[in-house]
Amino acid sequence: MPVNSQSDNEPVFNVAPMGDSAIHLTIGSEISVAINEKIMALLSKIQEQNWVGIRELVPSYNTLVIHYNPFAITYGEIRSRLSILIKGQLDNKQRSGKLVVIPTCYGGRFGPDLESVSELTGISCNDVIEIHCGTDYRVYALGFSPGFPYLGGMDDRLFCPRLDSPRVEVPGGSVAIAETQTGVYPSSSPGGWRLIGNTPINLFDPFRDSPCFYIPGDYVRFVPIDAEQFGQIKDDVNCGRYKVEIIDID
Amino acid sequence: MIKVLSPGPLTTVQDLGRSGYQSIGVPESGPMDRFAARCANLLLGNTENSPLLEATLIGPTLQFEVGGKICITGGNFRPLLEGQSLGNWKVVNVEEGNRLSFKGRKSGARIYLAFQGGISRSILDNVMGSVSTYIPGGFGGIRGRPLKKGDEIFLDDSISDVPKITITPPDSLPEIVKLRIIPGPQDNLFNEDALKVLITSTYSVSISSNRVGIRLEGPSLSHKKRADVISDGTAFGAIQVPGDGQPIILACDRGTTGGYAKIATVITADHSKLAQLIPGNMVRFEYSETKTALFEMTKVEEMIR
Repeated sequence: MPVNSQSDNEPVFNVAPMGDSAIHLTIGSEISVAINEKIMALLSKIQEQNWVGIRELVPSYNTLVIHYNPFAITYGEIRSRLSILIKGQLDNKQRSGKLVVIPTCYGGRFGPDLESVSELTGISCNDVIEIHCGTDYRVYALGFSPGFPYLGGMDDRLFCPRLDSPRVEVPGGSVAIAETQTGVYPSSSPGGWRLIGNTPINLFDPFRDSPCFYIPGDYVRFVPIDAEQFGQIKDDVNCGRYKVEIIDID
Repeated sequence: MIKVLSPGPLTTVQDLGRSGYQSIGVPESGPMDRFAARCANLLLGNTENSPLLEATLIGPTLQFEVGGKICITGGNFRPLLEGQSLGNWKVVNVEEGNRLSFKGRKSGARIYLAFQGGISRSILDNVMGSVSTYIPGGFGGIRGRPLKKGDEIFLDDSISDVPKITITPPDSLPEIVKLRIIPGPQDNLFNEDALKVLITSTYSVSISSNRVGIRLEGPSLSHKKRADVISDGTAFGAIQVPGDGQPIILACDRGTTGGYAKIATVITADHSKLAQLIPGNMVRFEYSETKTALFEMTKVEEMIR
C-alpha cells in the first residue's frame, strides 16, 4: 500500500511484507539515478540510526529489502519508521564515490558475441567497443551472483536481446550486455547475456579483506586492452602484483 | 578424525550461514532445514552454529577413527552403526573404529549429522564469518565443494556436557504438504485470480529443485503484464513466478536479488517442511497472516527452549 505519495511529481513509495521476517520497500517503478540515490540515502539513515532487530539490508535499483527479527521489531514499527524517514528530507546529495577501472579485452575468444552484437546493431565491432568504453556506468546494485554489478546507463545504440538459449557456463571475467544493461560475471556461472569482452582482474574474491572493489552508487569504466596486455595483467593478478585503478570522484 | 568412505550424492558442511553480505550478492547458504540443524547441535550441547553435515537424499558412509557422541536429525534415512539401527533426533555414542552408514531414505530430503564439539573450523574455508558450503561460488566448507571419498573430518575437542533435553521430532511429511503463505510483496502484478489459483491447486515438486529453490509444477499463475520486475531483494520462502507461470520457492542458496515477480512468501514456521520436500511430493498453499506466523514461530522456538 502507498505510504506517502508526497507531491504529484514525486515517485510513490510502497511497502509490503515479504513473509514474516522481511519488508519490501519500492520507490516508483523505473530505473533512475535519483531513485537509486534515495534508496541508498534511506539505507544509510537506517544504518546510522542503528535500528534494533535489523538483520540485513538488501538495496537494489528502486527497492530496499529489510530482513528483521520479528521478536525484536515489528513490521508495523519498521513501516512507520520508514514512513517518517521518507517524509523527512532524504539526504539526496551524492556520497563521494569511487570509479573502478576495468581493463577489458574485447572480441575474439575474449568476447565471442561481439560479432553478433555488431550484426544485430549494424555498428562495426570497433565502434561497439568505442561506444561501450565511452560511458562511465553506475553500479545500481550487486546481486545475482557474488560481486555481480548491475550497471546502468548503457548507450541505447548497443541494445541487443538476450541469447535465445543461455550459456551453461559463462567464463569468469566476461563483460556482457543485455538490452540496456551491461555487467561483468565475476566468476563462471550460467548466463544469457551477450559476451563482448573479458577482464583479467578478479572482481570478487571472498578471501580478500574487501571482496568487491565497488558498492552501489560507485561507477565503473571499461578500458580496452589487447591480448598481450590481458596476459600481462593476468600474470600480475595471479602473483598479487596488480593494483586495480580506483579513482575518487565527488 | 572421521574418514569419508562414501560421500552420498550431495553432502556438505554447513553452519547457520553467512549474514550481512547479501548486498554484495553473497547468499546466506547454511542448512536448508535450519530447525533440524539447530536441534542436532543443541541436543549434543554444541552451540547452534557449530559446523555439521547436511546430506541430501542418500546418507554418507563414515569411518570413525575417534569415539564420541553424534546426533542425526531432519528426515529419516535409517542410520546404521556397525549394521545396527540407530535412532534419529537423539544423542548416540560412537566408538573408535565404528562405521556409520544409512539403510536408505524413509522420509524427508535432508538429514543433519552433528558431532559433539562440532566439525573443527580450522580445516574449513572460513568465508565472511561462516564455513557454510556455497557450491556455485566455490567457497565455504571443504574448498567450496561437497564431501568426496577419502575426505577427513576433524572435530573440535572443546566439548560441553550433553544437556538433559529431548526434542519431539516433527511428523514426517503427509501425502499433501500444506504450506502457509503471506501474500506479497508483488501479488498486485498478477491477474486477480492468480492467488486463488495458487490457494486452490495442488502442485508437485519438480526434479530440478535444489538448494537455490524448490520448483513446482501445476496450474500456471498469470501475470497482469510481464513476469519481470526490476531486480530486487529476495527471501527464503519467497515464491517467484517466471514467465511460464510455474512457481519457484526460493531457498538458502538463492540469488540475493531476482528479476521475477513474487506472489507470496511461505511463513518461517513452515520452512522445515519446505526443506524436506522431495521431487514428486504434492504441495498445497494456505493463507496465513503475520500474527499467526509469529505465533507458529514461537511454538517452534519453544520446542527447543
